[in-house]
Amino acid sequence: MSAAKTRPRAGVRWYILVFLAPATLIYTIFAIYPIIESLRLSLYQSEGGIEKFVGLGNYLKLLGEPYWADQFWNAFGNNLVLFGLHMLIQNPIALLLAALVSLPSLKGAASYRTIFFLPTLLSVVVVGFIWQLILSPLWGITPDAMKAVGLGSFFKPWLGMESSALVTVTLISIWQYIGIPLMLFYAALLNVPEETIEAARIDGLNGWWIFWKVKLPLILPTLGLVGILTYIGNFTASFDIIYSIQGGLAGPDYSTDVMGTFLFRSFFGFQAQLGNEHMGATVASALFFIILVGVSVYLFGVQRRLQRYES
Amino acid sequence: MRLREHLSSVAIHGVLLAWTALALFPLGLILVNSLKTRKAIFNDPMGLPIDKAFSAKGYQSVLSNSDFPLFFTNSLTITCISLFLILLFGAMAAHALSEYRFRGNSLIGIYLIIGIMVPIRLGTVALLNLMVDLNLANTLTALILIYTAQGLPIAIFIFTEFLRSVSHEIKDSARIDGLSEYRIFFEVVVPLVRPVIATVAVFSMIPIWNDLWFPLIISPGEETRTVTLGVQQFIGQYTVNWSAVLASLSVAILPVLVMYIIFSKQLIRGITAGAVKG
Amino acid sequence: MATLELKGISKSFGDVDVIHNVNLSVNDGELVVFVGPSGCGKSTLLRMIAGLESVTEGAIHIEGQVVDHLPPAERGIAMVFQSYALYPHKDVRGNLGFALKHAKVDRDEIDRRVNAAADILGLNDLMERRPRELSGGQRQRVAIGRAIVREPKVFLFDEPLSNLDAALRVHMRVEILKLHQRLGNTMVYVTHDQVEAMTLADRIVVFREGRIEQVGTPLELYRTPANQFVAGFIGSPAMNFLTASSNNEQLSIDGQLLCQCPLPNGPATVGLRPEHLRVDNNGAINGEVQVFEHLGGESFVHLILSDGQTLVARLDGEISCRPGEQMRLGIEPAKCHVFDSEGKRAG
Repeated sequence: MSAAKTRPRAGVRWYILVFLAPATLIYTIFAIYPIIESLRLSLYQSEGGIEKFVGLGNYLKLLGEPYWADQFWNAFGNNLVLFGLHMLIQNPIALLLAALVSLPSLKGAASYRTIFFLPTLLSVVVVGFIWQLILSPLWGITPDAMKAVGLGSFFKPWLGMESSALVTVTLISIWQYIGIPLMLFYAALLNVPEETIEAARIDGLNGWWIFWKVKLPLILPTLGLVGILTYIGNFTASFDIIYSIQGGLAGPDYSTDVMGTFLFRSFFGFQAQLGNEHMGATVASALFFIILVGVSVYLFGVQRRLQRYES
Repeated sequence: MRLREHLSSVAIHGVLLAWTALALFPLGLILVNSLKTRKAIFNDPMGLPIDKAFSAKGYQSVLSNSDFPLFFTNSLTITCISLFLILLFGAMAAHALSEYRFRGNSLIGIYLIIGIMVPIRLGTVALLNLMVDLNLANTLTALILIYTAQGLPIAIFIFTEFLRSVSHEIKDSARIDGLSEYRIFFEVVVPLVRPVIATVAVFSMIPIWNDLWFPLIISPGEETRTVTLGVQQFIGQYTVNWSAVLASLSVAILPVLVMYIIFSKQLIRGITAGAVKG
Repeated sequence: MATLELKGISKSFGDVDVIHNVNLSVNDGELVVFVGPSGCGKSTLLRMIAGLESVTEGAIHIEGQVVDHLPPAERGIAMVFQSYALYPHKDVRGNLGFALKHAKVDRDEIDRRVNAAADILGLNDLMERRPRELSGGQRQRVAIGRAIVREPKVFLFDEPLSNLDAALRVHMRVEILKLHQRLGNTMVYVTHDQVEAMTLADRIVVFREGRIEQVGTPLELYRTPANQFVAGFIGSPAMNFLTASSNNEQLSIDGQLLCQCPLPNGPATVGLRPEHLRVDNNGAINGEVQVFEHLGGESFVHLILSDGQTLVARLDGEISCRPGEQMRLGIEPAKCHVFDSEGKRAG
């Protein structure tokens, strides 16, 4: 019976309000209000301490003035590279590892998943420095190791070179955060009913085909979820790893600049650049719309189509 | 057939062990070298910290020259209080949404979980102004409030999904036993959601403990610095003192590592619990 | 005296009316079973008696007192739920004593009542276990025990056996019957299973779409169902309904006389219980055997009549036949149930 859970006594049910109020208040004041207020600030500019409505002026500036537009498109492009590499490298590897760890007959599965999730728990700052040290030509761990396997001449200070810095930082990020998609895939794979797999085995499918034809279609919704989480994280959380490895200027020469670091500089300024609250709000709002597009694609395109497969 | 099975099992373990090595090697390297002399760090990075190579100087300089205990206490305070508020307020809201029928129920439900998709960082500019207006800039309270607001949507989502799947009869039974709605929440619902508390805690805790953005922007002061921000700024000063750098990294890793080893079972079980179906 | 009276009870969720003007009185010590297909409102009505749902119209009396505005705990009722609703974090003793502890009954009294209930239900060896360590049947016992310790005026059962497997269900049914005999309390029991209703009830109330279709003892319902719905619901296997024709107060099928009929000339429906049909070379019904199921002591024959209607007959275990054979069946005229075009019992 999906009947109502009302109590028979009439009158206002205060307890509902009491249960909802704390979460709703904190969330509204410290999450929703600031986002809306940032959207508002992006429509203003301050002149001599007085706020002036400029309509879409800040956005035109962001996309029109070369000083802003160059940074914006550079950061946006780098974010797309970051997103693409996570989708192409992180998520397939996570899926592979999750598929292997979730095999029912595997020995030591518990130890594997514990270890695979460990880097995710560490602070980004710590992870950034660890890899900086390991890849540093000063310490020489990596060049020595490469020399030992005869690849010594291929070593380069990857983090310091414009051409390879972004990819290197991305690989470090993948190393750290692979635990999250891995666990989501793992949980989804555990939820595939044993009987369905047995039925496939009786139909003559081997392990490889069972994965492709049975398990993968059943966990498609999780694939979509991981995709959108990667998208959102890529645009906002990527700040942490870039800032801790390459600093606020996202060097060398802005080659690792992403929307997060760009937002940070626009807001606070950095060295020669002056900070501007309204331009900061404008970059944040632009980011808001970029994420909104991604989320809409996910909710109305991807998720709906994927849900057909759910029982 | 036997041979083929054997081979495939070897291949599977091969792949898994390769990633295990990749995941553990950097951490091991840092921990081992943090206990060595400068000479040993450079001449023999793979060697163990024994005999002449051993030195605890790095740790000495870290623990004597810095505010690490303070940073650590700050991080712990922020994480624990935020987590407590997220779990309590999140469970309360989820209980209201899943248990009672009232006007606007689904609207409030959607409103409260929109935050999963819209990162709170986008409101940073206004958030800083707000904290300044409230006289909360450079306080731990500011970070606690922000992290609570940030963690609530996913907590409410997971709790609501879970509570919807739990039979309502147990709450009806408590009503027949004469419990008030508040006591039903604390005496029946809270024990009921225990299995997913670990899930929610993990999902909320990692981003709080590791966050660099808000400590840097809202509370960068010496007194309120978190471990993550502290390490970030501390290491910068010591780029030449390798023992100290490695020791400070180890100091930041070790508490997490110890906690993880103790709680990993619950943690992983929590993450993979049925509630996380996406 | 713990009587229960429902006077003009109606219930609506928004614009949807789920219960329509229900009137019923349950005598002291009586075990009344509410039965009907899912969604017929029987559980909602039970929850209204418990105080878990509000009453839109009408009044509920327990022991002659109106209880509509009392919270569940003050109505003198106890309820056993389908999912048992045990507190997972408390052991069996904790579950049994929870309500009393909350009501601040003193500890000796709690112990006395909890131990007494444990004795009745054979739970003594399980007192320190948590619900997840118990089997389905044991959980069910604890749920019943939790109701017993409250010493309620009225017991309410909401499909308490439907989560159990078939063998255990039969066993627990007997246990509940014994419990009723031993305690002598007034009980209201909701189920969708007519076998449970027939075996347990002093009186059965059949519901359909929020209305009472018929109230009566199991045998009354079996022998004189008030309408086609009740006739089809009570009895297993279900009654066969055939289209027959009424002519000069005589009902015939395929031109063969079946029984007397008070209806005017024209088509009518006749209900024949499978167990009342027997092999009879002069019988009125002739058909071809489609399926023959042998169960040992008895057998079921599925026949198809020349006009395409089908029926099932429960026959002696000695009889045997093959699909495709012709078979002729007869029935005593007194055991034919005739229904008019609206499904009401005729005569």
